[in-house]
Amino acid sequence: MILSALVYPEYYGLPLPITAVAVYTSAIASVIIFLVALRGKVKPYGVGIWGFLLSLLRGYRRWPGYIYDIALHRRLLRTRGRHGVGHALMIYGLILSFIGTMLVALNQYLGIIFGYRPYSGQLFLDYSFVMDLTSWILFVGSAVGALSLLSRLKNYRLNEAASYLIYLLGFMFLSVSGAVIEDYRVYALGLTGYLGYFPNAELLGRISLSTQAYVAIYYLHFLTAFALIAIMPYTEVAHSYLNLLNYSTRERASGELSKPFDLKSVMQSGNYEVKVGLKSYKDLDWAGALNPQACVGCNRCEEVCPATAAGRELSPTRLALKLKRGISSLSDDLFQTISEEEIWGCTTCGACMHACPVYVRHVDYIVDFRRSLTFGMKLDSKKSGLLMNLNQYGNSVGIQNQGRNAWITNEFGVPRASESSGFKYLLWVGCMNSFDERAKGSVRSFLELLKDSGELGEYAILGDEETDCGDPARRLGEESLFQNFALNNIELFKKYNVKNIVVMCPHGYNTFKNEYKDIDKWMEGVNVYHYAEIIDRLVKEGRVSVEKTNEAVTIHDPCYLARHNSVVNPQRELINAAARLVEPERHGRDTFCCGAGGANYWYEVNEKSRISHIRAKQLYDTGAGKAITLCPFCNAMLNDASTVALNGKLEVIDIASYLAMSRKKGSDIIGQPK
Amino acid sequence: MYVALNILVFLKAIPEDVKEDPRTHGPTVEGVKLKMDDISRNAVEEAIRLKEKHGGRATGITFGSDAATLVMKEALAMGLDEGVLIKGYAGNNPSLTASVLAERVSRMQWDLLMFGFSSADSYTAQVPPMVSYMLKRPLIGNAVSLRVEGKTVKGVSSYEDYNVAYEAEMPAVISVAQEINTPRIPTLLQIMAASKKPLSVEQAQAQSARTLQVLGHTFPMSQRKRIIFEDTNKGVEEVAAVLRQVLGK
Ligand code: SF4
Ligand code: SF4
Repeated sequence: MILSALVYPEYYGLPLPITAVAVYTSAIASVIIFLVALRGKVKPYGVGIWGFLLSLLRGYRRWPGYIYDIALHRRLLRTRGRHGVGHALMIYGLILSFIGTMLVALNQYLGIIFGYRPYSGQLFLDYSFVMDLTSWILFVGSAVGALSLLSRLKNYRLNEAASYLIYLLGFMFLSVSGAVIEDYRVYALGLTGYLGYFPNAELLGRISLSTQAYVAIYYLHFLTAFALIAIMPYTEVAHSYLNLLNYSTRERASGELSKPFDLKSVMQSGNYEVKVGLKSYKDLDWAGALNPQACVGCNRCEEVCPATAAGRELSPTRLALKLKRGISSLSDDLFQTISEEEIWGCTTCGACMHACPVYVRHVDYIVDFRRSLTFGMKLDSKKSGLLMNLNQYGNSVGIQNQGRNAWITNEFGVPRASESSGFKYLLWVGCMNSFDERAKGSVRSFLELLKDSGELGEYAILGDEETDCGDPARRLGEESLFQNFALNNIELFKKYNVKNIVVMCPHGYNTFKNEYKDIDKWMEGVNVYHYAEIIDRLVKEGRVSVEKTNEAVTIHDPCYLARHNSVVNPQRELINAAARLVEPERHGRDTFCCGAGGANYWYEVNEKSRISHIRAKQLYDTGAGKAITLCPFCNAMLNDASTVALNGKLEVIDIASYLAMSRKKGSDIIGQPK
Repeated sequence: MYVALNILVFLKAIPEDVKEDPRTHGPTVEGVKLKMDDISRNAVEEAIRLKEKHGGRATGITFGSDAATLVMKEALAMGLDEGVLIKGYAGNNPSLTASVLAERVSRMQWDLLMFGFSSADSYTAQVPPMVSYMLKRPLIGNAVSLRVEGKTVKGVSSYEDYNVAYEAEMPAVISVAQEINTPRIPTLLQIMAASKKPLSVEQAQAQSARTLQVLGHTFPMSQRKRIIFEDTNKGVEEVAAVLRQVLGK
């Protein structure tokens, strides 16, 4: 046979035109059924089919990121890699099949309209070869998927497990039936001279198939494919488009919480009847109601969760599944299945959200639940105590705020903003750093470094005017108190015409950088720095010179710096300049929480082991005797953990203190309390 | 059977802290912000819980100055239905306070009259028993639990080493202990919203009361050793060493 005469044999051996009509009718029907089903699914949350589709389209700027994620299966391979590989094969298999199907359709239309059939000759042979491989890819991927499904069967209800299984078996059927159809055609058409391009036909040999059986298999093949499209909204496989919705609509940074009301407008209008918090599915906007419904119970979030690791009641996987089921059954009281203990067990570290392959935003829901508990005045004495301290003293430690930073002015001559004749950087010291003796040591070290570099004169502090940044209040669910702090602080920043804020705590850093601009757009013009970024610059500019030793040192990255804000390089550059960096397994954006975040520092949760002890052990196991922290809370938690659980064998040092000790020319140890 | 209750609860606004007067070096509360007295908070909480259980109304009453308005709003935000601010408070004077309050409530309908057993600023614990005496109504003092059954209130009073269970016909006067509950904390938004609740402000009726004269304030004499441990790394050992030395071991 001449190569150019080879054309894809559309409808070969099938009754025409009835088959063509059947194929197109069922294709159109599947799309219609899909859309109707989708409409039924999203309607209870107050969105129509067009609103839904438009949101996907409006997020087009995010698609490249999404496609990149899916193409590399980044999130699926990072944890639970074996399961991820199965899923990747399945998706690649489906994409290749889709391309094959499109080629066939294109071939047909171009043929009818222009008499031109591109899917012929060498292209036909080549892509046939690809399709043969595709059968295998899809089959193996689905088989691995079925095994993964079995391994975590306890996550699913019967109907959920069944719906996954229908797809997995469906895909396997499609690969096998596709191969059989091809086999029949190859031998019937006498293409045996090209068997090298049809490895499956070669492998299967000539299957003896009656014409009727061939027709039946062909019909089953396309009917299965279209049926799988049609029923998707009713099944767990809806995650395949809900994940795109989640990706397209996720505008906030992961460290930024939602703003349920605007305190300033509420005060101006005098209408205080605002809805805060989450209890019923009705409290969610439609995208919020659909977000957790993408959850596939894959356990990735649970595997990285410090709360689960410590044996707290919270598992983000179970939480996401309960949310999904509660919302989809239109529950008016989600607390029926979700307990307060779970809600308070979270440190808002964000590991779950970064691991989730379908972009569920666990922390949004957890904080929204907290809001409803806090606004329902259902806090225990520890949590109430934090709110009282914040209310009464204007700081989270509950110490008279007056004179909180006087020592900085006394010891280093840093002026208060109110008395400064002009400053470039406002140093936000932070609650812990202002009052706690150990934390003050880090501040002293940082100021020493600034003094050395000659930049200290560019700094000012707020002094008595510094209060709380609002992070603990917000993460405890007291949104109005958070916004009140934010409004007051922004007022001060404006008064002193602040352009740059250097924050000595990642929590303030995150809230100033990501959350304040949502309170007042003016904050968009303010640069916010973590102090490690400043030290890094000083070292790079040669204003502080450090001596490199061979000491093994590890870094504990704070969640609110590394994960939520992707600041991972400055600390590494600094430690590499001064010592030999040894990384723990969980580092950088994948860091493991110290246990203090999300206001956890101020209250107790039932647990089997302490999150801080687990983390201290991980750091100790690197073999480095020293762990560098970049947050006063991490520092306190890990230092305690080392004392209690490791006999103090892990030395926990703040980055500024370590750098101050590493300075060249016989600098003595400064900053650390004597 | 639950009968709707009419509850009055007294709450006190007290200074957040005591400052050192830069001139006299004595203690002063001038210019210090006010907060709700800690045990008043428990009384308010208990009043609201009883109201939530039995139905009825809970009204807050405070004897203070304009500065106490915010504290009253906080109590309203916790769940009181209305507030009465009686102005004319001029410093700590239990018998005067008691007679002002007794006169005021004698013009009102109520089943329970509730107090914190003592306020955290002066700690006299005298007002509840004085009011009880003036109104000739029974007092259950320092209550750690309360229950209302029909027209009777039952309460357990806590003494140092033992508890006593009492019951009294209502109307009755109650003072609660801090252990009785964990008070709820309203959010800032709820405190703001409480401005919509009725709050009446009035002047205290002049009362003659035998009064104590306050002669002056001083800081307590401190016998402390004033040892400061700065290195938190060595803290425990250092403290232990000093303790051992002091205890002579
Ligand atoms: S934010 Fe952290 S602690 Fe909270 S559920 Fe997610 S992983 Fe667990
Ligand atoms: S929330 Fe995301 S990571 Fe967690 S189980 Fe569901 S799909 Fe997996």
